[in-house]
Amino acid sequence: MDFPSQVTSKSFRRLVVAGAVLTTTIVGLTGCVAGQTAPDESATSELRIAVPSYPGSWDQDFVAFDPVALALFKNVYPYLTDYGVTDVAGGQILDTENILPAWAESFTSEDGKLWTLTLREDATFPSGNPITADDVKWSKDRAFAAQANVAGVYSLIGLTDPEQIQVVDERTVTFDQAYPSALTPQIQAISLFVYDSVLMKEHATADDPWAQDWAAQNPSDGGLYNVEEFTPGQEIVLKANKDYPAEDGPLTDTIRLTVVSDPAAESVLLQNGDVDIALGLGRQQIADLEGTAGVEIISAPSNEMIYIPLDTAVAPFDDPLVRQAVAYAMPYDEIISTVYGGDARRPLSIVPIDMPGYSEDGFPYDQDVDQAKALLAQAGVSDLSVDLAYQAESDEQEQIAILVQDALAEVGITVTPTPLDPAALGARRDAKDLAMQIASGQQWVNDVEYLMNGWTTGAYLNYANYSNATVDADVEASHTLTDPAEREALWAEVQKQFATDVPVIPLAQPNYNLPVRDTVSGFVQPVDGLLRMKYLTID
Amino acid sequence: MVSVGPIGVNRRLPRSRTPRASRGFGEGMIWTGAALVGLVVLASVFAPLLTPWGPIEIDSTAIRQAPGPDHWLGTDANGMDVFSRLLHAGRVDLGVAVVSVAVAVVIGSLIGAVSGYVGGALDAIVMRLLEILQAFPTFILALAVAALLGPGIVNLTIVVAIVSVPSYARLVRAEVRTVRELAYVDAARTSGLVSARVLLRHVIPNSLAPVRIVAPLNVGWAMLALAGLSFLGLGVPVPQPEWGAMISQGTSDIVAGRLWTSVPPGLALVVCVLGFSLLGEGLQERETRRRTR
Repeated sequence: MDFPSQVTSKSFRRLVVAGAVLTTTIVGLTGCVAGQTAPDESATSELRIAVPSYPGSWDQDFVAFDPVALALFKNVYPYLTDYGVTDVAGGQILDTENILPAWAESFTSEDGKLWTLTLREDATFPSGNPITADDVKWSKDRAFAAQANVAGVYSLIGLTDPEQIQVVDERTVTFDQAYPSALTPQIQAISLFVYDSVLMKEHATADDPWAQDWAAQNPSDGGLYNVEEFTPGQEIVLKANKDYPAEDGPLTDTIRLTVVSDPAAESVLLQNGDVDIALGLGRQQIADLEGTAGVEIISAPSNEMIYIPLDTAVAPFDDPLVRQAVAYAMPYDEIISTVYGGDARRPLSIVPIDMPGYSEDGFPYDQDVDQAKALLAQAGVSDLSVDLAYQAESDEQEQIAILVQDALAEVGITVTPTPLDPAALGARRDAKDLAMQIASGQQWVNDVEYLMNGWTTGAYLNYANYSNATVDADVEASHTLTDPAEREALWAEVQKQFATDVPVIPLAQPNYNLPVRDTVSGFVQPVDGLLRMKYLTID
Repeated sequence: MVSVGPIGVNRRLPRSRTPRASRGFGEGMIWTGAALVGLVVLASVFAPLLTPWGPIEIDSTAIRQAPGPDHWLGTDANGMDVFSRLLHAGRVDLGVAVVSVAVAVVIGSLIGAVSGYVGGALDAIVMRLLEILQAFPTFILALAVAALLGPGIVNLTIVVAIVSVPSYARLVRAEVRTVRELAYVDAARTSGLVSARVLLRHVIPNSLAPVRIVAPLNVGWAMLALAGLSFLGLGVPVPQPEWGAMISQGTSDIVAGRLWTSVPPGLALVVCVLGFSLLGEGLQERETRRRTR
């Protein structure tokens, strides 16, 4: 499951920005006055986070492209298992190869096919209802019946029928997959959240048997944090769940999420110490905060990938030589230095750096204008013109589009940067009729199989209309392949194939940057981009 | 003085002055306005000679660089020279504004002239249609049409022309209804000239005086509308220079203190609109004096 960068309408944002200059000034001035006083010591047990938007829905089953909501859900839904933490280069990162029980006491399998989930004793929801095997069963039945996101993800590990999930006793549930899968621990770490089924059934109706209407409007908490207050469109207050049974419970008692839709105002609030963390700021706004007294920019490598899919089904990109030429013409280094200020890495594969199985073998592309021209000549292509679509609200993508236009002009390709609003871009992507586009994605599951499923013939995220029988067969074979060495060898071959076919050109892997007050500590870099608040503390 | 809508038909009359003071003031406005507009026109026309940088040329070593010897007005987020873009943007803004107003003048004048001259049911229908168009707030209408047509210089020209047409049509119609009753028009008709010829040779040429005054004011409004549409992302394609788009791109720099990306295009817009406004006001003063005499 991938999600794009935060989506807001650029037109709307520009309207807001015009007015926000004044707002920002006022906020800045008031903030300056506030900044002259000593920080309130009594507030140290409360972490204040500015977020750019309010969740579109409280129902995790049906939220896909809402980063704020998804980050919130990670912290309030009862997850039965979660990623562990490991130390990397002086920092901490979520460890996707070390899955720990959370509300579950254990989640084990002898053969990798039949998994047994055992719940902790005396675990309860905020309503007082116990967390039981029936809740797990009902939650996943709901996912299958209502075609929720989890149902799609479960299909990757051979769970396609609710009958494969069975209640053994009050605390035990089994998951009988169609085949053993190396993805299971990670897939379950992102999917094994449960609803309070007793409460949900009270709000179910004949027309809405799975209480979707109620769940969209009301928090389903009971996880690391409970939702103490929520004012739609404005603020959400979270309280640490004292009943959280695992050892790694929340370190901060209260987290106050305040919606600040204007990034400039959000930035000023952080500078003045009125919030401790600013989520959702643009890359340049974060860079502008460098050196600000009291503000620290936490920067950590991420697996977010910026890439350019080329439509392999229609001319001119149906010719691999043309795609290779474009790959040779790309201004890779300039994009990283200009757009990201050097705060990004260049992946030499469609697989993100750091993902187990990443391989650079057979990837020859560096910017080489002569080679690009030669390949175009070999393909018999000249005077090529193409639209380059990108998200209209993304300054980063606009900068990339301009650099690509400039670079491809050198090899005789006329590129027209074409900003598309989110709705138009989504519709065009669904129709798969974009010849060339800038896309971004963050992998929720740190595994090549999960990623490559998106590039099989006809896959939803296969924006390139790429179809290669060998790759399809390899991905199919990977479903039942659990030996790490064999998987690594398989993915190396697939990545070589991608380097030859070039359905997609990987451009950059920008770092995950988070601007915080220097009183905030305990940051753990989320491999899925979803901030885990339980590790954060404030001095 | 205030103006409402594209061509300022709801205008306060100038305060009465002594004839000599009025003449001096009016002529002063004309010359000042012409000088400001002329300055912008010259800078735009000779833009390639005034700066070594192309308007979309990227200097990747100078991203968001402050004004200095290499880049007199600094660079933007793409490393493009702000001074060069400022000058070249003038070509787009002036060009679109002037052409769209010219198109609106021609089409609006023809519609108004025919409607006013023929009168009757045709006049009633045309007026109702124009009233429907004018019932929409002008910029909102421009926004809607721009969204419908999509961004691009030609489409922008069409948008600004479309929203300006009703005002010219009503202006010319009102004038035609007066002129068509004058003796020389009667004389032309009785001498056997066909209506079309009377209209084209005698009525329209003598009904255009208000248009000559209002058109410069409309050019200023057209530039603001164009900049507004571009600010909202409905203007020229990326990365072509245009003042509204430059202001939009520079807004996020304001908080960080990088004023050079948005203030210069804003000032250029002010100078240009002020120039056309003074020109229009001066011409109105001159026309008022002429009619008073």
